[in-house]
Amino acid sequence: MDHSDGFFPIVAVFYAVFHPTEGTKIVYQVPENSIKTKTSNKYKNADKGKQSVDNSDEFIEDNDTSHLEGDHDDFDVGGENDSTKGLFNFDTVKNYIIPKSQLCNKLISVQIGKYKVMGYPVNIENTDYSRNSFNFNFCFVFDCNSDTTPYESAIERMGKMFRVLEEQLFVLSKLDKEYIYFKNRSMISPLTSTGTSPGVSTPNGNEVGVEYFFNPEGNLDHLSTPGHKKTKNISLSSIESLINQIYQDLNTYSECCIPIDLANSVDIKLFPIFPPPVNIKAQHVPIATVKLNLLVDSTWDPTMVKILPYIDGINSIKRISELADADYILTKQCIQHFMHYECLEILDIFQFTNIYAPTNFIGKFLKLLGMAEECQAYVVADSSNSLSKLPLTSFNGYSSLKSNSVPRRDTNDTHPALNGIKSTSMTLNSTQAPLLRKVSASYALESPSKSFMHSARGPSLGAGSNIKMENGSKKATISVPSKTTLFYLYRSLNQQLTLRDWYFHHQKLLVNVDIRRFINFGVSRGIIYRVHSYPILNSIIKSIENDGDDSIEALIHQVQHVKRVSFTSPERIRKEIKDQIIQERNDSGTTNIHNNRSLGQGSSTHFGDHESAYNSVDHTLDYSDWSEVVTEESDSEDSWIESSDGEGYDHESSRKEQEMIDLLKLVKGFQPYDSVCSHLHKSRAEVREMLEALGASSEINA
Amino acid sequence: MSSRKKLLLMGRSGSGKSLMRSIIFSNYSAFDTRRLGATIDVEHSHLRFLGNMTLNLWDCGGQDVFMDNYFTNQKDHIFKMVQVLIHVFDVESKSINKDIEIFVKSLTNLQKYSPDAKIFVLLHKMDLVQVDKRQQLFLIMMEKLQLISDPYHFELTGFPTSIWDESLYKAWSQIVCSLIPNMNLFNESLGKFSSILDAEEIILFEKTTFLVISLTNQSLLQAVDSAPPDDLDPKRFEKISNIIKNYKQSITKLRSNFQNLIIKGSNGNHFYIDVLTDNMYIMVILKDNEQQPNAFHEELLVLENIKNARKWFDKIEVAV
Repeated sequence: MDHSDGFFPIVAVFYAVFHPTEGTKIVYQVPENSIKTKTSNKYKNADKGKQSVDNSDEFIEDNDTSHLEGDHDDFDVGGENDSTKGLFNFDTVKNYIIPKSQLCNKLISVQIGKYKVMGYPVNIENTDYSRNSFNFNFCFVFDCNSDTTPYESAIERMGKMFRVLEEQLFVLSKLDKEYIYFKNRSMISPLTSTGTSPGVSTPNGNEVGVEYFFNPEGNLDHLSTPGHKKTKNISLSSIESLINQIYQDLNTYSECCIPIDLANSVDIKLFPIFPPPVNIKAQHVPIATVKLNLLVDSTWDPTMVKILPYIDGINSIKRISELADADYILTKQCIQHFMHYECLEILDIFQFTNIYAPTNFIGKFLKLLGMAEECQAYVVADSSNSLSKLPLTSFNGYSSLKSNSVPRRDTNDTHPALNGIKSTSMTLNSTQAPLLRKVSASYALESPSKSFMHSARGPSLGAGSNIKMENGSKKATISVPSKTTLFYLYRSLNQQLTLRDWYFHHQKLLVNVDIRRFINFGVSRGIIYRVHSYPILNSIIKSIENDGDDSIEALIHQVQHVKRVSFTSPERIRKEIKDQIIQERNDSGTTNIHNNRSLGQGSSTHFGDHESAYNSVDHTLDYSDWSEVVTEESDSEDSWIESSDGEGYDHESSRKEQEMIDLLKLVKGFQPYDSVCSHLHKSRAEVREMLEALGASSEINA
Repeated sequence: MSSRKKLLLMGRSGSGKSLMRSIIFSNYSAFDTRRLGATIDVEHSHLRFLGNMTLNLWDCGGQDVFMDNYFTNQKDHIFKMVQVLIHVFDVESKSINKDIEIFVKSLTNLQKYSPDAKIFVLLHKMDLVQVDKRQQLFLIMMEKLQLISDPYHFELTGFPTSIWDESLYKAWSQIVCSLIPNMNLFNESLGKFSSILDAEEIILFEKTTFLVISLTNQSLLQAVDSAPPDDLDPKRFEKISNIIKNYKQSITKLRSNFQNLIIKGSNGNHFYIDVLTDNMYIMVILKDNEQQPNAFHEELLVLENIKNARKWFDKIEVAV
């Protein structure tokens, strides 16, 4: 249950103290009567004058037999007069609210029923107190499912502060008007000392005249040192007002600042504690969940401001960094920060070659209230939008469902940044990515209409001219896709079906549906998941099975050697050695000692005689992070070569060869196609070609 | 084969239960007890007594909240299988009625769950009452309480106590001895030993708490017509407990152990205190023989005798 400001609300607050004769009792609680104690359901006791307070109920006591009828405890106490049943019965937890001394001065939380009570019990030992110690606890009651981590440090601090206040100035124990917590009740009166002290008996059996007593106020008056009279004495006017205020302020404002006196105040501010940011990849697509452009101010990081317009749910992180002309690493960090503060979600690049399949939570669509309605609102699209006119019929011949068939180079298969479909989806999204939760049908309605005002591109949008849009009219009738349709569509996704084929099959049903949003909704709610394709080189598999990496090196040699045969020269070779050194030094991977199986080692054997300046630490590259390294690496490397280049040599082929090496490494690291494509900036078809050059390959969908 | 005995220590808050427990069983001195705090809920102590016997002492906090609990939610937990109930009354208490009410509740529950238990009543803090009024007060109180408990068929034993004198030891000795099943055996053996040693008096103490377990006096063994020892203080045993315990504590401060003690009195009395078994001390009081003046008792002989008696008493202990 989320509170509006993200913190779970406090259900109740109470202040409990250990009374010398009564034991643990709640001195004050807010809201009233939220916690049932015996005193609120009091039975008549032997001092016959007293009547039961509050709820007259089933507790009867017969003084003659002193039978205690009504062993009712917990929740069925209280007659019909009781309007608030109370959250829980205090007696069951009282020994943990004021526990034995071993548990004191620590943050203790107890769960009872549906509630969780968290407090910091304090035990102060001092011979001035009757019973030689004073115990108290400020407790906060929460719902048992609340996340209370923001409150923990605040409660602890408050407990410690009151501990010190009590130790030094007896702030809390003096609240009781009768000074029942102290041995010597003669606190107020200065110096007249013959107050009786019940707790102290002496050998001769006489009452000890109490000459010693403590009375800070009295002492100060007595001393009357200059300036002392002017200092305001510490006193807590009432604990009730303090607790009341804490309760209200924390629930309303998530912070409170209540002065206790000139020097002390209860200062609490709640900070939400978020989990640490996760690692994200270049091919992830961020989509904003809050209107970030409304939050921007002058203190924002410039990179963040730069990338902000490109966060639209379509651009991958790599793409964002390119479009915004920002450094990739910085972009990634910005996105991670946004994620940490839960401002955006991460999705996959939307491509028609993606494959999705239902998860086992598909039932949530039917069971969770409101999910289906939200889905409808989010995915509805103008029926006259361009998607329905997608020239997909030209791909009719492409009916093979196997994704590892020979790829054909077609416009739809290019990199998402370049294909025609992109233009369509871009039009759909030129509105900012809406808040996923608060989308109304009219908003969805507006977006396609607006987008068409701006769209002017794409040959595949040839349908644009056919569309008659009434300018600004909101009265176009839209038929909202029904829930069954949507559910059927979700269900019909399977692992053999690319989106394109799926669309083709269900074209009629998808007339009113914005596919991209449809998929996004499903993925973010967990009812469908993305099936990734992984390119696998058979030779790599074999090498793993045979437990030797030589084939990789052989491949690399092959690649490099073929290209380089005509270019070997001492300087060139030295350059290449240095390249390798740079590569290795730039590795962000772990350095496991591997028996002579690193790439560097392989290259060193390849470059046999020229190993001189070689750093022969074995590396095993961590391929999951390799992708970033590759990209900067190739940049730096290229620039380095170019800057020191003194020979005419082929940049093009070295780049290609570098790409091959990168591809090899990515494939070795079992990266999905998205990742490979993002890093190499190539379309899937091109990547497949390159793979073929390397040897037999296959694809796995998972 | 060890036996566990459950002792319930109840009474209102501040009546002195935890204090007594600390003094008797934890070697606190009366002055140390100033520092004790209130008992929260029940404090359990396990005490080994005489080797085989384990005393399970339940010191129940006396605040209202706890008391309410004992008689409602936890009553079977608290009152089952109780061997002894020790109820403490504070003579200074302003609300006697409430005290009695609680006592009555305890009796009710005890009758329900452990009808065979023995009940001891301690009127504590007697030192706050004027000396001449003490006996009177005690008698009045005991009468009243006995009246109250008659319907429950419990026999009460009462003691006036104070931590500042030896009455505490007397009460607790009685309490603990009532738990020892084969007291007679102890008494008999002690009698025999006494006649062998020709001792004036022999007393057996428990090692840690120095509570009197058994005693024998020569005058008891002899014929009735011999002169009654009216010059002996009837409270001497408790006083001895008190004194020796304090002595032991002083010794511990010097970081040495108490082994045995031999005192030769000027009036011809010799006191020997020595370890008898692992759990008992024995105190032998020998008098100079009037018929043989100037004869002296061989100290070592006496000690040797005591050592030999050890095996004997060990056997008795094991049978406890």
